[in-house]
Amino acid sequence: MSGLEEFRATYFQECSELLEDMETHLIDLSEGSASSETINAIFRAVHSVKGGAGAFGLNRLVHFSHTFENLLDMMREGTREATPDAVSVLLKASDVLNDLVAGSRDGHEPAAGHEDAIAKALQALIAGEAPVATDAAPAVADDLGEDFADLEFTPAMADEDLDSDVAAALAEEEEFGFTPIAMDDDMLDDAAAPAAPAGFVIRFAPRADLFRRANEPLLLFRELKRLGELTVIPDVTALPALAEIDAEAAYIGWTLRLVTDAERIRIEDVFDFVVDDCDLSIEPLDTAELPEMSGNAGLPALGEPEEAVADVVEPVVTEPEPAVDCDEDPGVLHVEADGKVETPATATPAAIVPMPSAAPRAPQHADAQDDRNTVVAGAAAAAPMIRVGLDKVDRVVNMVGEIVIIQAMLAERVRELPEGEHSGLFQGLEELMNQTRSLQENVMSIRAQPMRSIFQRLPRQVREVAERVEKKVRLETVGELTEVDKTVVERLSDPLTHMVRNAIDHGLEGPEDRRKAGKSETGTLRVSAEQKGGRIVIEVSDDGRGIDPVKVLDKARERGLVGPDDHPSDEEIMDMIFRPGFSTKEAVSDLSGRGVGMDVVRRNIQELGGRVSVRSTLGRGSTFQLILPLTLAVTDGMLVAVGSETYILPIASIVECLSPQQGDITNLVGAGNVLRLRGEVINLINLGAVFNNPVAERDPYKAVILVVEADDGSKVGVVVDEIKGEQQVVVKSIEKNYRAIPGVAAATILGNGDVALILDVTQLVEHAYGARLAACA
Amino acid sequence: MARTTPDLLQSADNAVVGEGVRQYIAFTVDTQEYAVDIMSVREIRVWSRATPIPNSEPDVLGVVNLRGTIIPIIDIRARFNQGRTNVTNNHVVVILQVGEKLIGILVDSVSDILTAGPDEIKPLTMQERISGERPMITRVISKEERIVSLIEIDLLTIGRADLAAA
Repeated sequence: MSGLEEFRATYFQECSELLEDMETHLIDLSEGSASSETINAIFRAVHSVKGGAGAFGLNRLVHFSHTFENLLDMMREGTREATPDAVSVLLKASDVLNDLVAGSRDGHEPAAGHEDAIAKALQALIAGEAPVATDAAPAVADDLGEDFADLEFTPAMADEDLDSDVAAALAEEEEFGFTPIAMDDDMLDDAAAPAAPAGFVIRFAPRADLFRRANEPLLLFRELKRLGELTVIPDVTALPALAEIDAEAAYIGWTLRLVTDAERIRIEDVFDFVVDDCDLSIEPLDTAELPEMSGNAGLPALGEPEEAVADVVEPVVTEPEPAVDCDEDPGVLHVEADGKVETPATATPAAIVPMPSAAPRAPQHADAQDDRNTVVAGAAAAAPMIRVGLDKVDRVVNMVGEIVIIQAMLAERVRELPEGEHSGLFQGLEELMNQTRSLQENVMSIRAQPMRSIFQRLPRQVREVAERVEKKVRLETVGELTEVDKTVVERLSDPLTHMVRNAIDHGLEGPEDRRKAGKSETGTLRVSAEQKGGRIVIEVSDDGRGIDPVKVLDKARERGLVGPDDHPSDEEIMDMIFRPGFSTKEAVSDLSGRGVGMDVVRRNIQELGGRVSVRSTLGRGSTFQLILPLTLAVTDGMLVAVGSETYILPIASIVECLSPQQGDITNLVGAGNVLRLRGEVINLINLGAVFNNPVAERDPYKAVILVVEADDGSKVGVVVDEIKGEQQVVVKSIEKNYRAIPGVAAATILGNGDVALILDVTQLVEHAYGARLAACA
Repeated sequence: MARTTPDLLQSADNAVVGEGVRQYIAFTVDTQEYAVDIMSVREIRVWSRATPIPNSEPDVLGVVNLRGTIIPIIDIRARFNQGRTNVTNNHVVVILQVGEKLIGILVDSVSDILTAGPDEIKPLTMQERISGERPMITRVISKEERIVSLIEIDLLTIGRADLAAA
């Protein structure tokens, strides 16, 4: 890869991360759970995309993201509100941005004019027009576009710095070949600011009465900000020590620098109601002197308290307050290497934050940041990261796997030594094993990803599907921080999407039906992920109509899946919805129910070594459960001998091991041997018989029984010759070079270099019964 | 685990390779001589025990560990319906790259490296199809006095039952 191509690749990689991030924030915004940082984060993402696009001469992307960014900029300054309709437009715009990025990356640019409609909608919002009607999100972007087609409105400012931006970016590209993607947020502002700005310097010091009359300086500042570019510099020199602060007094004054073309009277208007309760002076900008400010252009916009806190504190608080009982400089926020912003607990709120109104909020922000420190994309708050190719991580994973194997080999050799000679060795080996285990866990955690990356896409999908089928759906997600192997996460996305669609389309009833059934009109869809033992359990449940076994059976008979005289159990009937070509929905909708449904889901999940099952109560809803292995690389296994062969049973599936006593086992015609265990009756599978191993023990009383639990919770006794021990095994794919083997999940390599097969208990049960071999047990 | 591949490949390098002329590794099973394209051969090793796969087809001897990768071993004798090989330590496994997959074939011995041009490769007009399978041998190398069967190795990755069904 040439240098430029490499940068390009990095850019697109960053783009996809930025866009993903943006998506999360947009969802927050649409759900109303947005913080003031949200718009900022979205703005930064779009801004970064634009910056890089300029560097690579992707003009179409630059133009679109610029319009997008302008609107966001206005939103973060509070001049445009993020109404639900506006957020809808933002969502659509992010889709378009995605398309454009993908198009530029893959060299298949979307058709010309692809972005026009949304761009116009954005411009309309910039112009201050409400987006058309409240027609459930502008899904019909074209219509929107037409409505605004004759507006032809482009803010003059937008054009100016767009061109200068592109020009600058292109110029830089010519000179250096590359421009860093992350542009400073202030660059735009600086560039836009005229050399000799018109405006005013306002000195404003409220008296206590101002607050008593329920006035709020922040609102005044916001008002001023609408007039132009506002810089706020607090003056805390009058602030006494914490112990002496009178909560109702006013100590803080501000110097405000307003770059505006507005006349003085407009500014006086702003202070009209408070003028008698404060000390106020308004001077033209050129004559006024400003307090010294350090480098930064002063306070950032008012709408971004986090940044305000971080940027402002140092220049303003010049001395620690004497009364503050704290070793550290009380005013300074500690930005740690991991990106968390912490406020010293003992710092006075007043010292930290220049504005009284904002004072109580500061610690909360620090908390909020703590909570979502992984999400914040802000330049200052991001944890240090390195970007590593997946292949490099996988190489390490493989090497750890090899170490585990070599370790098993060493352990075997050590055991061969005469007793007494190996105790020291064994101790060392044990320590090594512990280390290897934590090494392995840590390496795997590098590959692990939170389910969030899938879950965050759900709200939108749910909304879109719900709109299309005209149902009301409330989505609950639980356990989005559950971490799963990257491969699993990636390959889980499609099946999960499908299941969610299915649940809304087939599972949940329309509002009318729900009312009739005595349920609330809004259906609930719950998607959860949790770690259970060595597995991850994902459930998609709805409180809809449930699955009617009678209908399913009828359908199955109709499709010839069940013979007319067969009477399958309810469980077997439920399982039929996973058969290819099965759909109970009478009318095939355009969303799901195209016949390629749950069978594909099941296959996808099985490919991951997982399983799908469903339980349903008629009228109450259905729950689809996915059970997946946590990692695909290493598992704890029990080594068992069957004849001359060694097999491995996953420890996670073993309930207990026992040697049967005379009388415990009964042979039932048609069911084979069953074991009576503490009042339970458990079917037995003789591995030697199932695997046609001629030398394996057939007499269950001479054998060992491992009671294992299949994924549906049913217990089966696996009859083996003996138990050889327990060890960590590295999971190796058989399918990679061969094909799937019924009853076998994978293979591993033992200490002596031999291959042993890892059994899949659930499949084994199915296989054993399917092959009518259980009778041999 | 004697790996003789480098020696073989060494001599292959010295051979003169002309237009359309390819090299093949020839091996024997009983009196039959077979060959595969040398480019598909990854390595040649002596037989080491394979772990049997339960309920597999008779020509699948099992799986072995090739430096951390699990690969299946196919008994060429059984594949051609000549009965299962009574494996000894003198038998040889040829590891082949077939598409994305690595598979091993068990043969009696590796006999030669053949260089053959297009004119020395003859199509068979009659091909033996075992129970409707696609034929494993469609071409032979006919060189001097020898006739060597070229194995269609892509068919080796497909189980015989599946082949018959296809």
